[in-house]
Amino acid sequence: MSNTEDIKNIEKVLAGDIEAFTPIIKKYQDMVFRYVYSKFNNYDEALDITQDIFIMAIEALKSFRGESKFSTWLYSIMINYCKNYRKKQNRFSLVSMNSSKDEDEYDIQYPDERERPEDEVIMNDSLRIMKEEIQNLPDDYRDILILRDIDGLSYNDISDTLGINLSNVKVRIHRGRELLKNRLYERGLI
Amino acid sequence: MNGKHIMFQKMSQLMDNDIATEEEKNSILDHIQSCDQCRREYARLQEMMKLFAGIRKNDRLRADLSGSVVKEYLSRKRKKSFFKIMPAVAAAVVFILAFGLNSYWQGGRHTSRIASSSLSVAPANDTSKVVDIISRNNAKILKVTDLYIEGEVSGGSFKRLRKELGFRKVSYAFVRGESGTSSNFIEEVGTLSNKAYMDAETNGNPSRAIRFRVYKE
Repeated sequence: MSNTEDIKNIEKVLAGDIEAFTPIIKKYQDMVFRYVYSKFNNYDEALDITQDIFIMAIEALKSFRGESKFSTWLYSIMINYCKNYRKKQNRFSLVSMNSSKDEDEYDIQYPDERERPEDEVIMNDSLRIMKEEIQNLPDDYRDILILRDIDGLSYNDISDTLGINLSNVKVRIHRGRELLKNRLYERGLI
Repeated sequence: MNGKHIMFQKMSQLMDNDIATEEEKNSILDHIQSCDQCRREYARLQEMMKLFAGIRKNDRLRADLSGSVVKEYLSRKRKKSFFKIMPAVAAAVVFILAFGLNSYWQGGRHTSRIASSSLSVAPANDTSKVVDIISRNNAKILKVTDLYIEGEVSGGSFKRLRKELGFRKVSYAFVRGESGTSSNFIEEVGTLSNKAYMDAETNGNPSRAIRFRVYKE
């Protein structure tokens, strides 16, 4: 489905045919999910967030003016949603630590490792370490590497989505990769 | 290139096929093949990119979200619409409550126009119905008071008349002799009670008159 088809479907949605948004969700749901899952590393949480992002997109659809590709617009919503979600999460964890934990206790974010037959196949040890290291990257590098190397966006799309110039995009990608490569090397993964 | 080894940025660009010229690209590839250190570095980068590809391949949704998204969106929209009309609903409830309380507090002094009109109309309608029933059963109306309508009917017709009067409170008495004086009125206990007594009294003489009173509600 091209951007033109996206636009046609959006026009239908704006005219009241909400079902016309279905092909758009099907087209982008994996991309959105991968980004969210890479950021939060919890399948169920990522699922809920992905759903909320699409709902937010429908609600904000009137503000899409077609000046950029629909995918770029959707990615912007996705990135902003995740940023705000993380801020909320941080606020919540601060409150909970102050109010209900002893001083020696602290929250550890465990990756989602509940026993699911599929997960055992999918989440091999190398990928788990890789994800941990992606999580540990500074925000600027992590977001851009997820968009480029997991979601496969072009330099230009990343530039439009994040609102930074093309040369800056390239610099961040290469530096982010180098940092990640060094960390993976230190852990003996590569 | 820094003269001796290839900078990581160039390898990364090579990975993205973002080297400016074909000549430069070939030069980098030649160096990587001939330099152990750069070859190992490039191999690490390739290995990392394979891990990215692994994540891309494996981190897929195991469900189609389109149905649930549309459903959830419509549900939230309905909730929003509900909360949008809440102020109007609340205002209406407050108005109705205020109006009701006002009527309640003023109830001792006067009833509302609607209530008083319905009170005055209902008995009038029922009175006319009772008069119709009495007329249909060949009975005479003797007196109309604020409390009841009094009439007289032959013993043979009373049973039918009483049946048509239905739920209304009725008392009756048997008219004695030619003087037309009536015995004490018998108060019915419940609707259509004392029928057996009444039948027994009139069986011998169906033309014997019965005086009755139909009480207003």
